[in-house]
Amino acid sequence: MNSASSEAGQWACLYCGYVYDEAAGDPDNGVPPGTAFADLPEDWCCPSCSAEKGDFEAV
Amino acid sequence: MEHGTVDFSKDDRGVLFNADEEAKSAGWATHDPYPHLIRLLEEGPVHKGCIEDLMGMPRQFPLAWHTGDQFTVTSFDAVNTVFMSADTFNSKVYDHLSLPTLGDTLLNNDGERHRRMRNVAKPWFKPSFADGWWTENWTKQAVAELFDRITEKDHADLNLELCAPLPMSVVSMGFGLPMDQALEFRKAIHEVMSHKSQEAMAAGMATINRIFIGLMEARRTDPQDDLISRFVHADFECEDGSTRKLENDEILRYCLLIIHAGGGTTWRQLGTTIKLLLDHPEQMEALRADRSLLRATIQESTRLLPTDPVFLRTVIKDTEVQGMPMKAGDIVFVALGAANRDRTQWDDADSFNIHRPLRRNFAFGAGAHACLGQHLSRVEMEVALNAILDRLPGLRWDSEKPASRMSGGTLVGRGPDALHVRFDRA
Repeated sequence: MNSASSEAGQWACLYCGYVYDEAAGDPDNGVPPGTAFADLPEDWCCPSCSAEKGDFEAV
Repeated sequence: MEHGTVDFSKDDRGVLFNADEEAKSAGWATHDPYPHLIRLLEEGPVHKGCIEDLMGMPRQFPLAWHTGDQFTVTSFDAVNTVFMSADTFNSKVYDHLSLPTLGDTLLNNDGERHRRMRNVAKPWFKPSFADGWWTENWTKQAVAELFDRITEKDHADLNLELCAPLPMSVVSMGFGLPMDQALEFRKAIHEVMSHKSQEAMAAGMATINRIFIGLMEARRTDPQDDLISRFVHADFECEDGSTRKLENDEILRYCLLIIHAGGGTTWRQLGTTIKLLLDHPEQMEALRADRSLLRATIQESTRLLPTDPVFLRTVIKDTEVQGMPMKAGDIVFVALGAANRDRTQWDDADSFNIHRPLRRNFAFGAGAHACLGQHLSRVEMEVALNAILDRLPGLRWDSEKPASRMSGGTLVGRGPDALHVRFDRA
């Protein structure tokens, strides 16, 4: 499901549209700003709808 | 207590599980919305006016109290803007649409409070929990029971014999609700949600309270592996960061929302998916041969014919959408049924095609209020569709019965009226 890379550093959830922005991270869930999408833990899930990492695609 | 699936040949369903009957009992119009939705889409991405006036139909939503302007958005980009801009559009309008019947729930809350409420149940509806706990404990069992009954014959109405009882049974069993009370509970929810007389709504709430309060009290002292037990023992994060347990009425409102939403939508969408496959037998055979197409099949069914083609939002600060100015306090009709047909996003957008690349559509909403139960809904449908393909060889429409047609409320609650089929017995 993932594309290889995102020039914009943004990845969108296929199911709810939440955008993971690498510059912002996901601090509410322990992911600091600047964390590359590829470096997110494999069990990280969409903060909005809980979709899995594999259900995101590069913006 | 006995768990199992409900059998509508033995239980009185009232108006439940016929999309037109449910809609009419709630006072909704029932004609096909798509000719109007597509016309509006092709005329422009944003329109001034409520969707009912734009479609030339009587008002459906109780918005007589509203004094601001109303708009209808139809394009993919406009709908996306409204759903995804939580700082500009919120769900305040649901204080008038859902709060009077379902009470204070996720539907009418926003911001931090919404996030903290949603966090309570989110773990129990994530994909791995849907694939694991729900499927292994409840969905497979329910599907097996329903198909054992169906395959005693060579014909069925899959609407009443599979689509309707499946999600109701799964959610009820998952909650820990005894099956002999599940149908009574579902009927009571319908009475409450149908905005009927005060007496009918009060009687519905009395039934709901009677069934649920006893269950919650039992689970406080003797927790089981069910959702009621999880809710009773869950920690709710307060505004100051401390945690507390949920009160009975908070748990009840959560349960009402999940049972109402989960039972009412997956039933219809599963039926819609089955109808689309039977109407496109070459695609049904492609799916039969390649089950990796299941997710795309469901995605395409929800895109083309979502159960609820319209949602609403309140504008919370002055803004502009696709060049249309809107003021704080205005209401927006989010015509996701139109956006899902946006010709700039999908080729041949009005056709059913399970071979499209997987991409986002708005059937389950988007943004902070995206449907919490959507992963469970998808997994239920996948299990059911696999069983249809595996256990009903030679599946075809029953030519001796009335043809299936899309029905239900014009703007909410759409699904097939019946699914009369024949199949070869093993």
